[in-house]
Amino acid sequence: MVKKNLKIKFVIYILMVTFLSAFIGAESEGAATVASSNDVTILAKMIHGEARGEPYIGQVAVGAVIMNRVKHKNFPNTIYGVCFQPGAFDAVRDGQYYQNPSPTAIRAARDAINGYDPTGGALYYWNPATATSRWIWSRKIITQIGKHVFGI
Amino acid sequence: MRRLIIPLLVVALLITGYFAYNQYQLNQDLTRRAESQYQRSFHELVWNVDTINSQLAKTLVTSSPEQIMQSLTDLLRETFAASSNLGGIPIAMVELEKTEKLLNDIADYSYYILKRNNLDGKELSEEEWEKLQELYKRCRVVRDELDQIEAKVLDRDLSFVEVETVALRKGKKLKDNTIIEGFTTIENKVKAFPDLQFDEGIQKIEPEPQPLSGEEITEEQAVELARKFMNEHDGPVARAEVAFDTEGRIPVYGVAIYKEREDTPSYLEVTKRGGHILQMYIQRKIQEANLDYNEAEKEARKFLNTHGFQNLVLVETDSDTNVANFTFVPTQEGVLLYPDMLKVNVALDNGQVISFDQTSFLSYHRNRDIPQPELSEEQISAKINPNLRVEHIRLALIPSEYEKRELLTYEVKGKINDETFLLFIDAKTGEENRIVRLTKPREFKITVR
Repeated sequence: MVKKNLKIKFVIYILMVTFLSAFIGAESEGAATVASSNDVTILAKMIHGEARGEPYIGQVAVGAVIMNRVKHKNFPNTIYGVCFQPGAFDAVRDGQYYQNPSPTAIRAARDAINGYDPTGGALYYWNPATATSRWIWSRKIITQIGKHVFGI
Repeated sequence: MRRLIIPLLVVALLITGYFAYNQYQLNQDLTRRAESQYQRSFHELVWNVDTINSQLAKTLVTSSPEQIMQSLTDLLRETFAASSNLGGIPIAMVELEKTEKLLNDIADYSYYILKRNNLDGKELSEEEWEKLQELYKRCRVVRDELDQIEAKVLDRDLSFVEVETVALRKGKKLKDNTIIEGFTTIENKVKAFPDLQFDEGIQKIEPEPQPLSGEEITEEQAVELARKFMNEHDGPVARAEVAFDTEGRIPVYGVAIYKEREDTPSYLEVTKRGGHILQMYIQRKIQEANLDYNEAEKEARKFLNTHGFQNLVLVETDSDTNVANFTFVPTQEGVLLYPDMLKVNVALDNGQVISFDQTSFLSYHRNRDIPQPELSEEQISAKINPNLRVEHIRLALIPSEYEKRELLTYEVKGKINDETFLLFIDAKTGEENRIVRLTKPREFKITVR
């Protein structure tokens, strides 16, 4: 019984923190806006969700992998198709995708759409520390930028 | 007070229980919704592959060009649907490269025969029949395996959501591994066939990059070249080091460059052969825009001229609030060389070039033998759709999409219904080779943080 009580307290505490942080988040949100098309926006949200902590070049690299997939025949032909392929990207599953992107992510997305590709043609990337699928390691690694490994 | 504790705890427990039960219900509800999407994709995939299989079989027995045409059109549609449905199943943990390639091969080959048939209305040639027979054999293997998976999915009520969630938890195993094993078997069986070879002209290709000029350089030389470049372009460099190297299409050293009192580096990619500056990415906060696009274009041209790029034509401008993206192509004897494009981004706060990419230029630029166009500009003008309001006609070299060659074309820029188009018309045959719509995508305001 005592344990349950602790659990309730814990749950209430977590709830309060979540609500409060949501309110604080809403308050502190900057009002800056940029003009953006749907594909730039979706790619930027994806880059932001997947590679927020990475240097700008690493963010362009993640965007470039998505663009390389769009152009490659074995993957869907649109940015949305590639981004929302089930299981393709962690950010879509864990909800990191659903946030407003940073200006850097927007810039990186636009670069990737315009054809910038620092990886030289990568189709896959993964974080060696957290990668879940084993077959990913069978890809040929072509570079590592920041904490992501890039492969074809 | 003490007597109150127990009833209070009971009430709290009931509330938690109610809360948990609600969550459980909601969770079940969402799981079933996701599952139904996956089931739909899966069963549709089985249906698509079965249809592909029977349409391929039809092309093998019929001799009627109309029937062949009908089957090929169906094949094209069903292969696209199959790829899409395959992408809708949560089996990212299984490698399906060759299976996907098989679907693409069928689509490409159908499209190729359709195009050819459209031109001369012939029956299938011996070689085409053989190819379709080969595709059919492979496709049937996929279909048979899919049928087996489907039977078990239906009989044992296998869940794709379960496959998806278990794959994400390390060390957790599925009770019934039919789905993963089934798809792995498909891939292995397709892999066992040798890769199908197609003649040039059937599948889209990317032109091979030419070897770079110059000698192999060391990491130290790369750092020195990068340091020198950035000293001139972005002011004094405090520290530079190789942060990564790539073995991609053009192998490079990625050099991180730090300025005094700044801990976010900018990056230069220096080619391992020849030490060319391939790409530049300057990372900094960009302030309010002060320049317009014309001023920015001047800055871009100044940068390119400084680094030895000349005779450039601006072919595309893209921009957001504070960065302008320019694409330039060089010209030779007045002909635009589209394969050799250069990309430059200018920050609109102070006009600094903040990104640069010459991958295409280094890969393809050379002095070419450009033939004289066989058709004159007047002859081309006469062929253009009269509804198009022409803005300019000029000569342009473009890569062929299906063959390893470049095409001399007339680039016609024109407007219809407020939409701008570029038509590329073969300067030899007068065929419209490619149509590009230039109209800017619809934009809206989004909040950034």
